[in-house]
Amino acid sequence: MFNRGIDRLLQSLPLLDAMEADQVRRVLSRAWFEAEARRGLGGPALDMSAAIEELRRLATSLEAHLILVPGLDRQTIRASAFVAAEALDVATGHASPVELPSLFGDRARFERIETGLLYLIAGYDPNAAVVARSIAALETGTETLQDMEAWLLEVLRSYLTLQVGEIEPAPERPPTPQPLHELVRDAIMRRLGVAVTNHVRWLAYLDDDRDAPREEIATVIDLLEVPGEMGTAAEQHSDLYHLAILLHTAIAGTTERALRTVPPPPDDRGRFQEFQRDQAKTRPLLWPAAADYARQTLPGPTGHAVVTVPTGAGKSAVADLAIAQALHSGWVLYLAPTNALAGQIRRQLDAVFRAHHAAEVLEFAGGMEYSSLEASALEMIGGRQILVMTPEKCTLALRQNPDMFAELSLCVVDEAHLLGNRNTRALVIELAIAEILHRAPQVRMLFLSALIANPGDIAEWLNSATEIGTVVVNDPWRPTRTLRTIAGVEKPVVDEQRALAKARLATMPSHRMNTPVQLPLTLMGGLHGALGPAVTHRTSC
Amino acid sequence: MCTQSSVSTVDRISPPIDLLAIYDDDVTALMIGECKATKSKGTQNLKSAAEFFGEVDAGDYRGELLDEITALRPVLPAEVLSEVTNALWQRRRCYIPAIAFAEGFDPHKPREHLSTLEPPPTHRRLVSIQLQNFHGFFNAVADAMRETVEEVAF
Repeated sequence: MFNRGIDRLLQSLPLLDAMEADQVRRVLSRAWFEAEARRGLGGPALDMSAAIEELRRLATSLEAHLILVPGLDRQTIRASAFVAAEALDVATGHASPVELPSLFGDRARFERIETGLLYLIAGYDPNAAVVARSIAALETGTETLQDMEAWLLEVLRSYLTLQVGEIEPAPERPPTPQPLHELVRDAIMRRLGVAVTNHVRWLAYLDDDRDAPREEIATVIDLLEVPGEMGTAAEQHSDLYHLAILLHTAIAGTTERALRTVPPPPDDRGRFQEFQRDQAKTRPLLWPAAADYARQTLPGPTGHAVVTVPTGAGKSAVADLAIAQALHSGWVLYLAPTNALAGQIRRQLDAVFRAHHAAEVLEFAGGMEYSSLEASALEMIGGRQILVMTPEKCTLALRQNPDMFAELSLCVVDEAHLLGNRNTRALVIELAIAEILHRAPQVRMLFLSALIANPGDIAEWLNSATEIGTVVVNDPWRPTRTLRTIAGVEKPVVDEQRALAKARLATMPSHRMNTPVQLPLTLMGGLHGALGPAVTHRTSC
Repeated sequence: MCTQSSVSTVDRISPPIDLLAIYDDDVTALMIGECKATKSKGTQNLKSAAEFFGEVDAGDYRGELLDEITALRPVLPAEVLSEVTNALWQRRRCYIPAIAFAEGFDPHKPREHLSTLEPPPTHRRLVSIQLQNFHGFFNAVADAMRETVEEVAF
C-alpha cells in the first residue's frame, strides 16, 4: 500500500516534532512486516512492546489532531486518518488485546470500529470493510451488550462494509425503567444509529435526504457540548462523543465520494440514474480515479481522458461511468488488445449494463477476418450498444463499415500503454485510433492503463489532434497493500548444503532422485514503494 | 501543581483515568492523575498507581485517554487544540499519584516502582493527603453527595 500515492498523502500529515513523513512510512512498514513475520513467516518471536507503544502513540496523536483541530483541509484529515488507522491495525496484529470494559463490550471491539471509521475517513473503503469483518472474530461477549449497543454495533459494521440490506430497525426501549445515565446513552446511540442507517440508505438510493444524517450527528455533538452544572455531557459520555465526531467526519467524506453525486447527462430519461442505483447496491462510493474523472468530465464526457492508475484501483469503474453517460449520445467502442481480454471485458460489461440499462454488449474478437455473422451484426450497430473489439477487428470494421462510426460517442482504449510499443500490434492500435478520430470527430477517447509514464504527453497529442480538451487522471492511490520481497541465499551455505545433500543422496536407493534440504533465506521486503527502508528477516525453508 | 504552567482544562474524575489536565506554558502537556484513598495501605496503593501509570506508558489506555481528551474539545482554548498532537506524540505528560491516607505511609520515602516510569522525576509528583479523621471525612463526602441527588430511580 505504501506506493507513491501514500507518499503523496503522507506529505499532508500535520507536522509532528522529530517525525518526518518518511519516518512515519518506515515505522508503519517495519511494524507491519514484523507483525507478518511473527504471524506467518516462521520468524522468531520478537519483543514488540516498544513498537506497539510507538504505533499506539502515533495513532492517538494523529487521531486527536483530526478530532480536535477545526478547519483542517481534506488531505490532512485523510492523511491523519490513514496513518492512525494503519498504526492501530498493525498494532492489533502485534499486541495481546487489553481487556478493558468499553463501548461495544470491550476496548478491542471499539478499537476495530474506530480503525474502520478512520480508514473510511481516509478513503480506504476496502480496508474499512476488512476491519469490520474482523469484528466477527471478536464476537464473544456481544451477547452481554444491551440491545441498543448491539444494534449500534451492527449498524456501524453495515456502514463500514457498505451493506445496506443488513440493517435492522432500532430496538424498542426496554419496558422497565432505566437509570437516567443509561437512558441518555440509549438516546445518543439511537440517534447516531438512525443517522448512520439513513446515510447508508441514502448511499444506496433508499433515502433521498443527503444532508439530514450529518446534520443529525452535528446536533448530537452540539447537545453533548452544552455545559451544565456537572460539566458537559461530552465528559459524561466521552466514548459516544468521540464516536460521534468520527462518524460526522466519516459521513462528510462518504457523502462527498458517493456515486450518486455524479451528475447525470441531460435528457437521458433517467438511464444514468438507473445505472447509479444498480451500482450503488454493491459499490456506492467512488474511488479516487472515478471521482476525479467524474469531476473533470461529467456530465458528458465533455472531453477525452487519459487515466493511469495502479492495477486494482478502479479503472473499470471509470470506464463504466464513462460508458453509462456516453450511451445517451451514441454507441460505445471498447478496444481490448487480446481475445482473452476482450472476452473478459465483454462479460464484465454485460453484467453491468445488459440487465438494467437496456444496452447490448457485443464482442468482436479475433484476427483480420470477418465471419458472415459478424458482418451482418455490424450493419445493425447504433443506439445503446457497446462493442468490445480487438484492434485488428476494429480496423476491419473501419474499412468495411465506416459509416457506423458516425454515431460513435465513446472509444475506450484498454491497456493504452501498448501504443508506445515498437511492434505490429501497437501499429494496428495506433492506425485504428487515427481512423476512429477521422471517422468520428465527435468521439470522446478514454485511454486506460496502469503503466503510462507520460499521460500528459498523450493528452497533449489528443488535444492537438482533435481540438477537444483532454483531462489526465493520474492518481497512484491503490486500495490494497502490496508486499514486495526479495529472497536471498548465501552461496557458501548453499554450496555446503548441496554437497551434504549430494552425499546423503548417494547413500539412498538409486530410484531416489532428490532429497530435501533446509536453507536459511534472507528476505528483504517492504510494502509497495517502500523498499528504501526495507526490513530484512532471516528464515529457513 | 506539576509545573508552574497554566492549566487549560481539567477533566472530571472517571474510571480508568481519574484525572486529566492539559496545561500550557512554553509547551502543551498532559497531566494524568491516579487517586487512591486508604486508611493504612498507602504504599500498596501507590504501587498500584505506579502500575497504572506503567500501563499508560505502554499505550494500554490510548483509547480511554483519547476519549477524555476528545471530551475537552469544547472547552480547550483554540491555540491549545493543535498543540495536543505533539504533546501526545512527544510523550509530554506528567503523572500525579494522589494518596489520601490516615496512617502508616511515608510520602518522603524513595519509591522504586515510580522510577521505571517514562516521564522523568521532574514530571512526577506524589500528592499525599493525610486525613486526621479518615472515616469522618469520607462520611462527610458521602453525605454531601447524597444531598446533591435530587432523584433516585430504581
